[in-house]
Amino acid sequence: MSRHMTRPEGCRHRLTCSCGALTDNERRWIEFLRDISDDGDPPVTLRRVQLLRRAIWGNRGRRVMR
Amino acid sequence: MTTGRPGRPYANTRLAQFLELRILHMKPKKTQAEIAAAAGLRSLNFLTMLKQGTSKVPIDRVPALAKALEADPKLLFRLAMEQEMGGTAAKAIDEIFGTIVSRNEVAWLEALREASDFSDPTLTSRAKSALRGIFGK
Repeated sequence: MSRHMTRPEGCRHRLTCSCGALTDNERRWIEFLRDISDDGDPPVTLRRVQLLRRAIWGNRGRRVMR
Repeated sequence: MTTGRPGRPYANTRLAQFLELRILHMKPKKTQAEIAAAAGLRSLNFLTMLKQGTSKVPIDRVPALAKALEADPKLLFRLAMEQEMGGTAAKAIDEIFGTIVSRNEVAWLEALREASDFSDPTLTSRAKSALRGIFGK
């Protein structure tokens, strides 16, 4: 787990339960994902991960968030 | 989450819309009668009522219905809770017990964490545009 995250080590494995392990930012990402996919529960693909990375870091590999 | 349409109080709920779309997608694989039987519904007519929003989905049918539709049970449960009690109450339950996430959403969260170096990135306008691009919105 990152030094930036406040959750203790190991919490990422608890995502499958509903124990509130998501951060506020993660909840916003998920809610937005639900909206734009019309609750279609889209699977993650390699292409989507690549685009997600670009969404976070920008085209030139420079961080554009936070 | 109800609508003014006479006789179809749940037609505008996200669950009714999800069912309509999912049943349509399942058409080449399963008939509606097969879905209704696999979900343990009392009749095909009842499945039609759920799809059209005439009736709400009984919570106890969610696991079997999810299996019959080859959908994630947590996704269906979340939508059923919203249909049952409305968006505001469902949100309160989310706040108290935590956000219910499907298996695919878990995968998205893991991808988000890996891609961001576990830095808990904020959802910026730029990120929103990129996500919209992924889904052609």
